[in-house]
Amino acid sequence: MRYDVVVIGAGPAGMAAAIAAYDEGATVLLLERNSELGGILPQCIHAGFGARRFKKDLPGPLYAYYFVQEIEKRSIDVWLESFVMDISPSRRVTVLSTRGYEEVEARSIVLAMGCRERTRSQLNIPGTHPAGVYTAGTVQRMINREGWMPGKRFVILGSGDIGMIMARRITLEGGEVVRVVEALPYLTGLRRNYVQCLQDFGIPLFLSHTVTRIDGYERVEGVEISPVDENFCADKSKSEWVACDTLLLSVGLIPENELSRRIGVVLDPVIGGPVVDQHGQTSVYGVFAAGNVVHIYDLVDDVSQDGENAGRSAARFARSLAGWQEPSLSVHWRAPIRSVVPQRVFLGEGSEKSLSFFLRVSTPCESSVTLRLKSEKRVFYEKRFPYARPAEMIHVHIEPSPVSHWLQYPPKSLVWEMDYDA
Amino acid sequence: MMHEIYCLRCPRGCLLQVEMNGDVLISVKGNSCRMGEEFAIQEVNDPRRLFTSLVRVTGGKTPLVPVVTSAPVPRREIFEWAKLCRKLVVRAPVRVEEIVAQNPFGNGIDLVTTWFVEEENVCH
Repeated sequence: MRYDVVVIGAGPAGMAAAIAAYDEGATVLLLERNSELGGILPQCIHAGFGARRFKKDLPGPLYAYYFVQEIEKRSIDVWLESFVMDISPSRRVTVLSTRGYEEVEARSIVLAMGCRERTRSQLNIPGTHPAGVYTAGTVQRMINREGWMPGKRFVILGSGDIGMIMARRITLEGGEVVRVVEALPYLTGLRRNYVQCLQDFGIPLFLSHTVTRIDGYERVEGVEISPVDENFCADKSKSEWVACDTLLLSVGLIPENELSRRIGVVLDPVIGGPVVDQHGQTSVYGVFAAGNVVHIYDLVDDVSQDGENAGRSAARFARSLAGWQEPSLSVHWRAPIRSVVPQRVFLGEGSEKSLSFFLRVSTPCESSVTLRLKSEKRVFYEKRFPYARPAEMIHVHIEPSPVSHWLQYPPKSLVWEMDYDA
Repeated sequence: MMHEIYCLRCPRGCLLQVEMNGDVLISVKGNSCRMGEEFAIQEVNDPRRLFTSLVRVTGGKTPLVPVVTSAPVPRREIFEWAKLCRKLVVRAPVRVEEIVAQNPFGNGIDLVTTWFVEEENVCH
């Protein structure tokens, strides 16, 4: 079997990529290891999705459904319960499904596998290994999809959005959340989630605190919570033991790049996703990436947009096959900027129109900052922002795109800088 | 009486200082835009939230279907809605945007499904 574009993963990025590639005239195969479309969205039953795209406050499943309908309108081939095992350098995709083992030839591939959660083993929390330690997304699946409560009395570690949202869900389902602890001195999720999920229900938040021990043999019996300093060193003399039967971890997401690594895609060491250009093109010829597999987005609207961009580019690549990947410029950045996507700018055909960047800072700044993109000779973008927070990605859209200028006069360096205003 | 509330209208989340004299609003400070002022008045007088939960399904491939209220509900009503959701049972198949409870609290707000549940394949 042969397709112009094969999309791996049918979450918000993959569905948007498949739709965009099809609309660009490509034959498309969408592969999903789960038994339904939508990725993680059907279990994100809370509202807050689609503010930009649909101008409405939608729950996750409804947001996904609008894309499912778009897929069904088109003759896009969808294979559910199909697991991609490998991709060859000539882009032959090995799929394992209920039908058995199959190989598909792809002219281009879009990686849209999303992300996974950081677990206890990545945090090295001391203590016993009892039942009752879960990641926030696992508990979300248990409660919202399977329909059972994994515990009665919860402690939540990490103030990420999923953790706070689960604190509200647990409370509404009759469970008790005794506290939410966060090692950093500030909230890592959005403030509106703090208000709607914790403050509304009187759930206490302890900043600069962490879990320093887990107790219990068969089941979690309690955890030790200690204050931490700015180097995350716990002060055990002030620690407190809290009885609970479940510890929920909401301590961050990591791009799911097992497959990307296998096929030799160059990954960004800080964020763990593929190094991409503005078309979502990775370091492997004909392989594109989009969504949370590249870096963790705050808003699903951005994920879908990224998917559309990569899907469209993959379809164009499938049509021409030549002239992609080179030449390109690499983008650099300085602290307090933590990460920038895309990390490369492709200078070939079709790149002149517009240019978007997503930036994240490493420390919060509540007063105004100036963000600047410059080469050794010239400033291409400069704008003041009222604040910069690690929890909120900065989206920069540069129009008109400076790519045509760079084609004529390629700069030696392209650097993103951020200054604190006095 | 002073209230300190975070604005929920956009991700920025300004900390608003709202001064009230009984039910009468005197001033709003700390907002960066007009929306903050509107939000403060609404939030102090009648805080509302969009409520989402789950309803039990019988004979379906999954045991639950997610639901949402058709409009934001008064915050004090939230636990009433949660109680209602625990009581309701619907039969598969369930389609998206089906009304599972029409105007249950008499304020014109319905409970609507946000995902679908296919019928379970029964082997005889």
